[in-house]
Formats: sequence, C-alpha cells, structure tokens
Amino acid sequence: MRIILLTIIFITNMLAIDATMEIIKKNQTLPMVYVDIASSTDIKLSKKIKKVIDQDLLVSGHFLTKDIDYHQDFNDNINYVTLQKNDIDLFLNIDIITVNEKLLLNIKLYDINANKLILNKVFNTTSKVRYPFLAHKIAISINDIFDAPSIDWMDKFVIFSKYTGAKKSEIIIADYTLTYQKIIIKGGLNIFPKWANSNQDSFYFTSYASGIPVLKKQNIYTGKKEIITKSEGMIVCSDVSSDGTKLLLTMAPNSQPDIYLYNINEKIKTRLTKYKGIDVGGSFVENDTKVVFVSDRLKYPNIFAKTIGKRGIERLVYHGKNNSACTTYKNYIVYSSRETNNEFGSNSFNLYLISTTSDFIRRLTTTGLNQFPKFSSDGETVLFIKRYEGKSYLGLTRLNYNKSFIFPLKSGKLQSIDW
Amino acid sequence: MINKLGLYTFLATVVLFTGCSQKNVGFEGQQKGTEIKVNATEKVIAGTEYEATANGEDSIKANILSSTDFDYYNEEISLADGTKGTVKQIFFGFDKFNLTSEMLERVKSNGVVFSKTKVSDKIKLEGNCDEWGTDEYNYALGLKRAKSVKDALVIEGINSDRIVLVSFGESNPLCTAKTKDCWKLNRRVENKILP
Repeated sequence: MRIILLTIIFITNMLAIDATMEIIKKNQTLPMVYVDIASSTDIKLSKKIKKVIDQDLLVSGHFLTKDIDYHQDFNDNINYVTLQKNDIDLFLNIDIITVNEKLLLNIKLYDINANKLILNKVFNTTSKVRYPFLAHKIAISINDIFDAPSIDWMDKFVIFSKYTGAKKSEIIIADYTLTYQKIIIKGGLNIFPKWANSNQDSFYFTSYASGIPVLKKQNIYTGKKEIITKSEGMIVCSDVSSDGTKLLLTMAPNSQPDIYLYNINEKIKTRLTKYKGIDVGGSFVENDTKVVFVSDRLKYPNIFAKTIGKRGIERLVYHGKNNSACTTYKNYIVYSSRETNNEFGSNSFNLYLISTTSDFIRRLTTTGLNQFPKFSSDGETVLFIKRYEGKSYLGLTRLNYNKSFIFPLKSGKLQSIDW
Repeated sequence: MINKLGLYTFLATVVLFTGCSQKNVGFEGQQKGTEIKVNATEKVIAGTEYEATANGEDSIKANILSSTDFDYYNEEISLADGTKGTVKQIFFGFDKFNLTSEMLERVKSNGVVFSKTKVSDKIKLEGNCDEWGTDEYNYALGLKRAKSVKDALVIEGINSDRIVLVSFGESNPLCTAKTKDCWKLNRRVENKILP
C-alpha cells in the first residue's frame, strides 16, 4: 500500500511539473473528509470556520468533504464503525474556544480506515477576525500529513484594489477566499497594488493623490510610505524581480506608454521598449533576464517577449485578436483574450494557458469577463478577476485539477490583484 | 477503499514526529509529543480590519445620463480676459485612440478657446476608457487618447509645455449604465485648466 501511495504522489508531482497535461481526478480515489465542530462558545463563528475548512479541502483538489449525521464531543471516544458506514475516510473534530478577541482551535484528525488518531494540534490567534487564516492553516496541516502537493499558498495574503466610485478606490489585504479583509488605503484613487517581496511585508501601488500618477511603496505593518518615482500620464509597477531589487514599470515620461526597468537601489530607470504605440504589463521570465509584455504593435493587443539588453521582439501568442493581459510561469503563459471584437452584445474575456515550447493551448474559463491573471509562485494555480452579471469575483483555477472556484466581492468592482 | 489510508497513517506519523513547516507571516509552530501548538505571533497590519459582511449592494451606483448628445457635456473654463469659454469633451471609438474628423474639429475648436487662456495656465487632458478592461492596457489606451488630443492641440498652436496628460483608465466613468450609449460617453478625453 505504501508503494502504491508513494507512486500516486510521485505521479501527481511529476504531472504537476507539466501543466499542459490534463489530469482528470477520479472522485473515488480522493479521501472523504467530515468536518465536525465538537463544541464552540460562538455558534456563528464555528459555522464560518467549518465552511472555510470544507472549502479549502475541496479547493486543494486532494480531498472531498461531506456532512453526515454524526457528532462527537472533543474528548469522547470516536465511533469508527458509524463513520466507516458513512464512507468517511478522515474525521476532523474541532473544539473552538473564544475569549474576548482571542480564538483557539483544538483539532483532532482521525484516520477512520486505520482506526487511529493521526493529528492533534492547537491553533490560536489574538484576533478572531483572522479565523480564515487559522482555517487555511488547518487545511494545510491536513494536506501536509499526506505529503500531497503543497497548498501553502492558501494562507498567503492577497492584495487587491477595488473601485468604490469615480476616481475612488480602496486597497485591501485579504485571504484568498475574500472572507477576511482589511482596508490598507482608503480615499482617493490608489490602484495596481503589487507585493514588493515574497515576505509580503510591503507593496507598491499607484497613487493619484497629487494629480499626477506616483508610484509609492508602503509597509503593511508600520504604514510607512515612500515615493519611488512618478510619471505624467500613467505609472504602474507590473512586476518585481525575484530578489526584489528591480521593477518593471509601465510609465510615460514623454506621454508614451513604454516598459522601463527600474533599479531600486540605484534609482535608475532604463527604457526597454520604444514602440510608438502601446507597450504595457511587463513580466519577468527566465531568471529576470527576459520580459514578457503586452503590445499593440500588430494593431491589436497581443503578447510579446524581449530579452533585456538585446534588440528584437518575439511574438509569443498566435491565438486571439485582443490579448491584453498575461502572467508567466517558466514556459507557461496565461493570458486574457477578448472573444468578441465589438462593443455590442455580451462581451466576454476568457483566460488561456499556452506553452512557449509547444502548440498546446487550453481555455481556462467559460463565462463572463476573466482578466488580470496571476500565477501562484509554484505555478499550479492562477488567480484572476472575474466580472459576471455585474458582480466582481476573485477567481482561482487549479491547473492540474481542472477546477475553478470563484469568490464574490461584496461591494465595489475589483481593479487589480496580486498574491 | 480497504485500508486506503493505511499509508496515510504511516505518513502522518512521520509528519507528527518530524514537524511541519509554518508560514513566516502570522504564526509559528511548535511541537510537543503528538500535540502541535501553533502560537500566534502576528504582526499588526496598519489599516482597518473587518470581516467582509457588506450587504451585497454595489456601491458604484448606476448613473444614467440624460443625453447622448456630445455637446451636452461641454465644459466651461476661465479665459485670460476674465470671461468664460466653452471646451468640448473628445470622444473615441471602441478600442481606438485616433481622432475622427468630427472629433478633430472639436479639438480645433478647443484649441481656439485654449489660445485665449493665460499662458501660465496648464491644460490638463484626462484620458478615459469604457469598462471593457481592468488592466494596464486600458490605462495606456486612455493615455494614448489624451496624447492624440495633445498632438492635435500642438498643431493648432498650443505650446506643448502647457499640456499635462493623465490617464484614468476605466476609473472615471461619466455613466455606469450597461448600454452602448453609456460606454460611448466614457471613451473620452476631458479638458481641465490648472492655474
């Protein structure tokens, strides 16, 4: 059995390397998990915690969940037979304790088929509104036990801006389900937030406070702000190099939107593109030596690449007539493509995944306006903005599992996201 | 399904006694026997914390405009002699930043008015787009629209040093109804005078 499982894990990891291979998971091979709240001093909160954990396990693609008519107090003996009869493989029992703003979660995870307690763990936080992150931690712990492909991205911060009115927006930090949210900047027009490093302790954003677009950096813990640079017309931080010392900016010091490489330490900017039309949305690839970007040099927006310091432009996408945003991971590109080329009827934007080393192409979305794709750091998941029937959603596509999930924004309209 | 999780249990045991990694932001993990305590050592994020419990209503209220006549949206500006002049907003085609002959005439008309303003005043051209886009490309499109108007004004004799451009992308709609007339009104360049 051990060899079989290790083989499964090996194959899963192997397939994870090549996102171009479609994997159809058979439901019956996934462990069925039942999440039960043993006891809680806050019934409303306990339901929310259970909901997030159930959601996380499903989103992982490694588990299924279902509810059954079984309840167990935290320190009671478990009835394995009942759970087995209900086809439960894993039973998660949670004891929730709240004291003022503090939240403590005791969990026990039982392997029903092996009749065994396999995890006993305590999670706590001093601020119970952060319960989504504790729930994500629990899902990650369960996932890690089985050495399944990592879902550590679940408890990373998502940063986004949303429009709240004409020339008005907010920048907000959230978890990936948007259940937890915290406003970081409010008032005026502040857009295109971008994490400054993998620690997620500070971010870049475009501020219109002075009337001219200014690129600023803000620390999320101290609130300290600094001005990086500014540009008439527009300025956007499109990408940050892996070591955090270089930025790809779209700016227009001469009224012309081009891509610039900005060295943070030396405060020097170098113009990378010189086309007289539109060049925007630079993204580092190949160890930060190359830039993938959007350009209208074919008279419509499409995806191109340029090696830093060298002449010549390479066209990367040969599908679609309006591809205005992209994200890259190794040899893979996900781009947003407008399916209709007029202003009438139901306009739609879909996301496509392509490989730069083959002619593989896969459509990732089917309905609505799907834009602003962002690969996760492990390349297995793509975050994006979805607009559907007038509402904004944060979308999530698990590439290796052919699964997509959307999480609604309660108010406002999503402008941009990063994670 | 029989003993499907047998090895899971084995792996679980391994994990329990070798520990599992913890995220660097917010929490740090410790082990004690089979019980792992995850202690909160959170840093306080500077901002306003809340749980997403809004009532679901979009705070951007629909703004239905009463006219699709472009001249309805003309703007008044102050001239050097203390009187007022009228400048016209410039509108664009879907996904376009070139001036049609009709719009070029409107820019020329604006050029005559701007030539009567104080030479020390700046002329701010604000490029805007419709809602079909949330990305950088849309902001660049707004900028190119403003640039087209600037180039035409310079040809009409306005000093380019007086002209400041800024793009607001789709963030500054005149109208938020989901109609083609509304989207047409949003693809525009507004003219401002900055003393």
